[in-house]
Amino acid sequence: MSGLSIRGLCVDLGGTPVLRGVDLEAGPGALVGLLGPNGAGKSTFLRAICRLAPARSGTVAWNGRPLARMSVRERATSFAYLPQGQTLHWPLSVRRLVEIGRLPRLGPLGRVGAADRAAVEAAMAAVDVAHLAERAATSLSGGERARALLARALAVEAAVLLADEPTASLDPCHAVEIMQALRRIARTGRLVLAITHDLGLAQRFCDRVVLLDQGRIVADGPPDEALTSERLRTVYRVDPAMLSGWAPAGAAG
Amino acid sequence: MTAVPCGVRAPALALSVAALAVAVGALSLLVGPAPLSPGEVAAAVLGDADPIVSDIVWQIRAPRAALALLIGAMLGLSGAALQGLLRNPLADPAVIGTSSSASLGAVIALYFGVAAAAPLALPLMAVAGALVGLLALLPLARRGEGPSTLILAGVAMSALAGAGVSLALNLAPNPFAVSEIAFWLLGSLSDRSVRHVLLAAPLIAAGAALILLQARALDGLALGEDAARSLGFDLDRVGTAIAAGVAIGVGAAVAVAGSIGFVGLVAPYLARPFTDQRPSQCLLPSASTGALLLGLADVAVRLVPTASELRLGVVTALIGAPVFIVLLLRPRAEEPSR
Repeated sequence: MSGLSIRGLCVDLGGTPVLRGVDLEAGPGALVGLLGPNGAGKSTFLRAICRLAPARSGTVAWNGRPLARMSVRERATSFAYLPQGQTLHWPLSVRRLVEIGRLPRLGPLGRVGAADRAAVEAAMAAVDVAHLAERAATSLSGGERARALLARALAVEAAVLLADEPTASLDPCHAVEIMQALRRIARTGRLVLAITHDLGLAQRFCDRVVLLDQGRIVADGPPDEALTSERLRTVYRVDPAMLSGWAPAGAAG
Repeated sequence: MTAVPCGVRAPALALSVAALAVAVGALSLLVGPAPLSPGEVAAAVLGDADPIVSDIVWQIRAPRAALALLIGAMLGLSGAALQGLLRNPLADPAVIGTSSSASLGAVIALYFGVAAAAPLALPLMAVAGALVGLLALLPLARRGEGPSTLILAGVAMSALAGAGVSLALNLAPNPFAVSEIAFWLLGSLSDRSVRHVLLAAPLIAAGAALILLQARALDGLALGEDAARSLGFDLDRVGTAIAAGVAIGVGAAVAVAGSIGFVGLVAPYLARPFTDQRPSQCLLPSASTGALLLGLADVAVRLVPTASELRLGVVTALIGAPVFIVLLLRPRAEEPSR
């Protein structure tokens, strides 16, 4: 059993069921796009995977080991979570910001060692923020900041990266940069689960898309198979011709 | 412009400011109503002066200097820790009502006379008051991330504790009790003895240790609660440990010195620009800066020629409140500036 295995995941928020029995199997080395209308349960799904949202029932396992039985440290080093629209509360330099990702790996004295420094440099290089290392992260532009925050999540060196709308509020150019970076990260053997509302980006960059609606998975597969006009019409309740970026399978190029 | 927050290494910064604070503490041995020459004081410190001079230096001035440094350090550390925990540079034991609730605990001990009956009752009641105040405040403060939530929660806690203190003053059996409570509330370090140092020091050390053990979690919190939790920090435990540490340390400080506000606000404000801005790295430099500030303030109240000695808490509030206003006016780190 290698990879992520989710069985019958149910989550209630304030007494309302948000996830109603989600099953998902995903192996390493893939960029999986998580799509669905607002309120479909996408964010709750990511949060429940890394146990930020308590599950009512169901199991999440990584390489056959249930997360419930992992130590906090093992969980924190196996799953990196990039929350949506993160606020940075202190004007840290980009390097210090990225170093936060190493916190679960530091020894009891909290010393940043050679391996930590190497991981921080590698994470900054991977998303092209190494030249910004000494800049205050609060002074970056939106695109630079999104990449710096992604570098923070990468520095964890976790096997799974859970990214909640990493391209939100980015212009098309910077959104493409982030998706390219996520795909490169997946190619290094990690599993990347990324929420996006951009069907075009999902279609072009994701190896697989999972379409959620009302707390259930309604489609799961390669983008061209999962995102059919018919499904988009029922899930998003809009004429697919109105959706920017998305093109019916076979029409692209 | 983009600041380059490379920062001085925290231990070096903390140690050099601490050395300054100790120097101020040593100089403060020269200050007092008894006209002692520097030579006499030096002789007393070295142990060969006449017994009266020796008593003045060791029984009156040294405890006062030690308390100023200890309490200043604790208040500075508490402010830095609360600011990291609540991700808000306005957090301070006085602003969020911890000092008031500690005072209420102490006033209850004074009012019912238990303080006179059992010497430990006053500090224990102050710690208990601080703890109740903080544990009631944290859930309120964590409901929203903006500075206003925290300030409003602090106002509410201070108002509640203030009402309790007023009630005690209102119902006080005689004018002496009233003036005893009122003067004690103003905060002062005059006429403190070695006994006070021995009472406060262990509690302050314990509180500081509890806080310093949570330093890394504060760095994780720089990215908000979800990020910190995903990095493996149990935020309920972190919050409780810091609240307990602040309550024990500030409670002890209030018990021996009354209410001394704003040191926890001003010390991190001064120290942080010299650090790399990580909350963990701001803790020790803020502690030394707090010690330096309170050491200086306690020399100042003795040097300013007023009819009755200026109260330390009054002076720190006069300095601290304007800083608080400046911080309110300043844009926060993450305010959209683009």
